[in-house]
Amino acid sequence: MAQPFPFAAIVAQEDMKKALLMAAVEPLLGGVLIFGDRGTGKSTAVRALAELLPRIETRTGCRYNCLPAEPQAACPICSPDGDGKRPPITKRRAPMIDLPLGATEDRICGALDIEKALVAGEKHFEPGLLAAANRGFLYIDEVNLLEDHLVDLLLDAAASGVNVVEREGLSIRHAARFVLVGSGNPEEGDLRPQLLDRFGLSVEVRTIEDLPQRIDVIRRRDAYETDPEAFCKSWAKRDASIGNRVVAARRILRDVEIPDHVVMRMSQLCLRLGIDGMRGELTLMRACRAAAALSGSRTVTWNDVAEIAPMVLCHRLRRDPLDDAGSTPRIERALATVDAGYGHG
Amino acid sequence: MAELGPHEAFDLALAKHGAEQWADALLAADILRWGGHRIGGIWLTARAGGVRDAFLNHLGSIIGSQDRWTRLPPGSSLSNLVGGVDIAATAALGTLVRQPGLLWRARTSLLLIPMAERLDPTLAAIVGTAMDRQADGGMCILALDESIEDDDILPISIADRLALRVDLHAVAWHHVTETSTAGAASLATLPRFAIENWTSVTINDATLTSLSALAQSSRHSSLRILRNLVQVAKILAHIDGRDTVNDTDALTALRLCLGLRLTPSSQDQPPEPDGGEPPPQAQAGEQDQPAAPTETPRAEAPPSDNTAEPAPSRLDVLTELLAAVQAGSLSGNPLLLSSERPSREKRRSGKSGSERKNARRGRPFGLGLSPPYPDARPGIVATLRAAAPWQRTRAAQRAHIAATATLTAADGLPSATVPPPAPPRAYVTRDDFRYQRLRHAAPSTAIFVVDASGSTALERLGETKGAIEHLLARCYVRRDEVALIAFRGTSADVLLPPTRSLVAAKRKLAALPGGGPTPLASGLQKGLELALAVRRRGSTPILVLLTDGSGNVALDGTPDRARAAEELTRLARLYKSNGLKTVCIDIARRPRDSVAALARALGADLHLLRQAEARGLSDLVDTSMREANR
Repeated sequence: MAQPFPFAAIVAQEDMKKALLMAAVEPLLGGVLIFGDRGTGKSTAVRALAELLPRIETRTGCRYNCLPAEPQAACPICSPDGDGKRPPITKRRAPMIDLPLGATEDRICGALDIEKALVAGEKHFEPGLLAAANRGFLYIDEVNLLEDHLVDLLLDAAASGVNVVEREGLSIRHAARFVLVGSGNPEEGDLRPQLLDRFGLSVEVRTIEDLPQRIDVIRRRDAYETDPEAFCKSWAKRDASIGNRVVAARRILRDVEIPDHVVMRMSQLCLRLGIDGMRGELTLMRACRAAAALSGSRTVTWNDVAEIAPMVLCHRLRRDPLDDAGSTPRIERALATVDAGYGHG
Repeated sequence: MAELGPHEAFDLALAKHGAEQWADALLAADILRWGGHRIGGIWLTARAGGVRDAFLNHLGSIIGSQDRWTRLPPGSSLSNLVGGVDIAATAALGTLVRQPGLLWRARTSLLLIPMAERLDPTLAAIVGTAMDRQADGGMCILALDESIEDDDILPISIADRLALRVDLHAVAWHHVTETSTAGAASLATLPRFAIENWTSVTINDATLTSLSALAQSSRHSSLRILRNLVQVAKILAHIDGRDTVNDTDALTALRLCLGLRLTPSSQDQPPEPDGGEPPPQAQAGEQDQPAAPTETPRAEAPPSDNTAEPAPSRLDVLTELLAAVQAGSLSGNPLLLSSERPSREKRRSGKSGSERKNARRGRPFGLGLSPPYPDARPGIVATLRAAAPWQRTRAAQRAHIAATATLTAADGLPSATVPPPAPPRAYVTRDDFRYQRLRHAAPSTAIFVVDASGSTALERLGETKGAIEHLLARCYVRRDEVALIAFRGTSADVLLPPTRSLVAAKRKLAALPGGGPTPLASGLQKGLELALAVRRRGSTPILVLLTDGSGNVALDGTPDRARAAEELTRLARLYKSNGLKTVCIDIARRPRDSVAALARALGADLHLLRQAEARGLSDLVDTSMREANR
């Protein structure tokens, strides 16, 4: 894959793009779930995002993507035994790891290197995909087809930022801070509500119905395939400006303030929608911060909240099996009542 | 076909249809050569046989011989596909030996997927991802779909990415011999996958718009499909020696990619373009204009064939096609519609894993010699333990082999003094591998949905209570659970959430009242919710519906028979699409049609229970639970 399709060139699907950028700004959001039709550019967007983000610093040969300043004990490259020399610092692209559907637990968490154990009799840890995804993205296509226990494992690591392996006589801990992005087609099976809840953001993508936009998609894709380099070059500037926005947003993220009245209305909104637990509210706050930072402002306004609320809360509502309309209208109604000042119930 | 009678026009139409299909197939093969991985590949619907072989041979003759194709063996495992470590070879050689996967081997050629309709969704998703990610020179897919009716369908994740559809069902043997050698010889000079040549072909906005509208209104709204359409149209234009796409190309592309074909539609019955059914007799060309598109495509190989025919109303043809599609009189390949795919039992993927013996998680219950699932890793301790008794003999054997080897080497080549590798610490062979087997407990939950309305059901309530108690007594042994939902008056209530507790159940049951109208829809809704919740917890729900007739109260509690019936059908469809195991028990004194109809709609087993006996009922449910768990 020499040059992924540029992020800026993706037509429409604003919700998806925004959610991905927010997750890139604030990794603590806990991942993005993209549910929707086939051929809507889900994987294209994720791959493109990794390309426009700033490159990360690490050491040559490091398989855990350690920060050069904070070598991890688990990494034999960055913290060598005795007085071994550390390899030089390099920069590489933010990792974008594809999790294949058939991946085993060993492959994800890492496990005893069975070859070395059998052949040489050595106990040696073989890092898995979680280590490789550290400081980057972990992308699961068809997350709803993934075995449940693997999803559990991934969400746990994504939430805690640490991967702990205790098996086969190994005891390893290493950082696994990554943005989890799952995509899937709801027709092929749902996710358990408990899992849904743990994805920070959830966006629904629909096939573009607008004719000019559809034509745009085809034209751009065509241009990209005819000459990827020229196409990427023509979009490089716009891509770079998005990248800069993310970098700037990361810098000011911790300074973004949420006024008290906005927090209060957020709570009212969650109460009104009957959302259990605090996770919804917390994520809403974080997401709003990220959104405000992305737009370059240092205070969160109610407009930010209204815009973000569907993607934060949609998948946390109790599902009604006969409701075809989906949960977005419910959130919009609730927003309207809170807006109008009736939200005191 | 014989019983239709020897009608001359019919025979003619049949022959013509077959010839057209075959011509299309040849054209598709040609397009694949031009398009290569850019257009994904071909979805070939045909049964195994001479015609299919002839097509494959033809394809081989133009894109490279068949023995260079990679075949994906049916039932192949994941590690087979993506590659992995060859454990046996590694253990034998003492160094890490990796084996490349099929996808790697097929990266520059063609991946043939026989019996593609049986492909595991997981594997399909991986193949799909691989198709997306290849840089250049990539592979294309030839999916052989042998499905009959729609029992199994090609996984949508692959179908979506394959541009061309070839259907050989209607092609008879004599069509094949007529045409197969026509174009092949002259094409041999062109390079394989000549992609760069056609990418400069342009397409104007009007054509693109109508293509998009057509794809959308035939409910292929995926953008991938639209992109493939455009690419195929471009290739067609290029083959014809033009550098812009015209409407003829667009029409041909639509036919090749979506199976959309305009047949004379003056007859009342809708034509079936792809079902292997011949078009109606009127094919003989009594109307010039609509018949034109079916004629035009063959302008490509012999260029002199017909140049005047499509001329009269080219623009109109696309518009007319669009109108026909929108009117619903024309549909392309029905299997492609992602929005209304027939639901089917999910096979080995997703959430259906809870009942498997060879589970990936659960309690270990023994060691096995063969991997319980394709990618299982051997248990190290058990493997080493199995290898332990043989160490001494194996070491001796190895030493003997090494000694004879050096001896023969010394005889032949005196200078071959390679130092012998250090002996491994443990000699492990393939026979020693032991696998930990896991069993995932698969409990089931019987959910009783009981009609407690004021009609005849009331007197059956006691019986039901008895049956539930009976079942609970048995469930205690099998670790199964029972839940109870009763509907009466305006709504349904979950009286007993899934439980194993006999005491709690008895207390709740004793207090169950009866009487009032029949909110059947509400009961079914609650039952569905509970069943899905139970399934999410990893248990298998079995729904037992005891009722005596149709509901007369809508979901919101209003007495509206019509709406209640409509809601009932919607709910029943949900039951079916979720694949819930349902047992429907008619408890009226006389069996009623409405209950039978409901059972059919739910996909349920229907039983009549006229005798008041709790034991019979509990036996029935018990059998169903066992069946469901098998």
